[in-house]
Amino acid sequence: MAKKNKEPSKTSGSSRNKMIYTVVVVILTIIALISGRFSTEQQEQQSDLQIFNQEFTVSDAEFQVHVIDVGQGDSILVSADGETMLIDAAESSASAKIISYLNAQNITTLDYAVATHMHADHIGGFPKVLGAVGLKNMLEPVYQDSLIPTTKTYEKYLDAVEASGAKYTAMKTGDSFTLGSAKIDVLAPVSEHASSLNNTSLVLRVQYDDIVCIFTGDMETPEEKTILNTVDNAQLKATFLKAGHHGSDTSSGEAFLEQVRPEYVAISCGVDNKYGHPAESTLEHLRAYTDNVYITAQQGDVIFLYDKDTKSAQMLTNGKE
Amino acid sequence: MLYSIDRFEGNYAVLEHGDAFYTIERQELPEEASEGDLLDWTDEGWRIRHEDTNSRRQMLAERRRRMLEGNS
Repeated sequence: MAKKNKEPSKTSGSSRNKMIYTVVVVILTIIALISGRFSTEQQEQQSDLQIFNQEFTVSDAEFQVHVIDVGQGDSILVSADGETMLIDAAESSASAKIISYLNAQNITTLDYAVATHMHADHIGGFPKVLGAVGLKNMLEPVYQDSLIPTTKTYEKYLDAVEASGAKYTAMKTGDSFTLGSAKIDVLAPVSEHASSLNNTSLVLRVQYDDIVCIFTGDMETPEEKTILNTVDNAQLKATFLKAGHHGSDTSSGEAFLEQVRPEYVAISCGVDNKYGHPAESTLEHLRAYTDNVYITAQQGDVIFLYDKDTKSAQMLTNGKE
Repeated sequence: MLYSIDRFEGNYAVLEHGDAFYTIERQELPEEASEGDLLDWTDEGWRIRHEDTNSRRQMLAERRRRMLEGNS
């Protein structure tokens, strides 16, 4: 029989000291402001955003994106004005980490959960997560029957969605919904006729006040090209980008990035993963636009915060454990 | 118990077998193998179980369709 290597599973279980981190952040912020670190000139260079790079965990910011360090997979918590959306739930082995993370944020019911596409490293954790927290709306992309997975993971995902009692909706380009005061537009898929599951990824454009965030699932360059051909490209300029497909060289093509021109980028992938994620070539493409490229495999949970009163954004990590 | 191809990652294929996942070289699989194909291991190597794949896919597709229609 062929040699098979069991996939390593990796979860993180230690608790965080929210109070200490919060105090540290406040003190460092005050010191930075007093010392004049953020001059008017620097603010203009940073599109009126203030940037703090330091250890942090939880904030009261009105808009938050938490790219949870789930190893090789995706799970991203988005919160706007107190309403919450979980984009993907990684592999089953990461569900304890995700549940712990949601508990730490005092989340008992999610307003939305999104399954960007039906691979196990994106939907595997949903059964246990949806057993631990309530859910109002479950969203996924349209996709054709010929791409329906045959995995037990997929069947368990359907079981969990059904048991949750959530409203279950398949979405495509042109659909939209709101999360707090954030407006969320579906950029892709344009139809159910994508030829691979990665390219069925439900791609979301989230606009909150003056900023835009784009979440890409495992979208590859064919789906990027479809977006470029179907969506007003001016709508693609983004403050924050979750790079597609764990930073693989299948994604984050130059034509797409030229329109997005991200100021902050997060890549979710596992330490020493077999697949070579993220690709060095992709990192080079991304760093042509910003030095603010954060990788969960290196920096742990990656957190983007925005406060609309001060028009300030922060990109933070809690460090690897 | 059959294996299911969850996905391809570059030169690798990720297979689900029961509650476990295995990563193998993609070239070990038949050239025509696609994501979602069910497989078994024979003396000649991996074999795609087309009928099992189609019937399971049809069953799950029908279930998904019913669930989505239940929300409309």
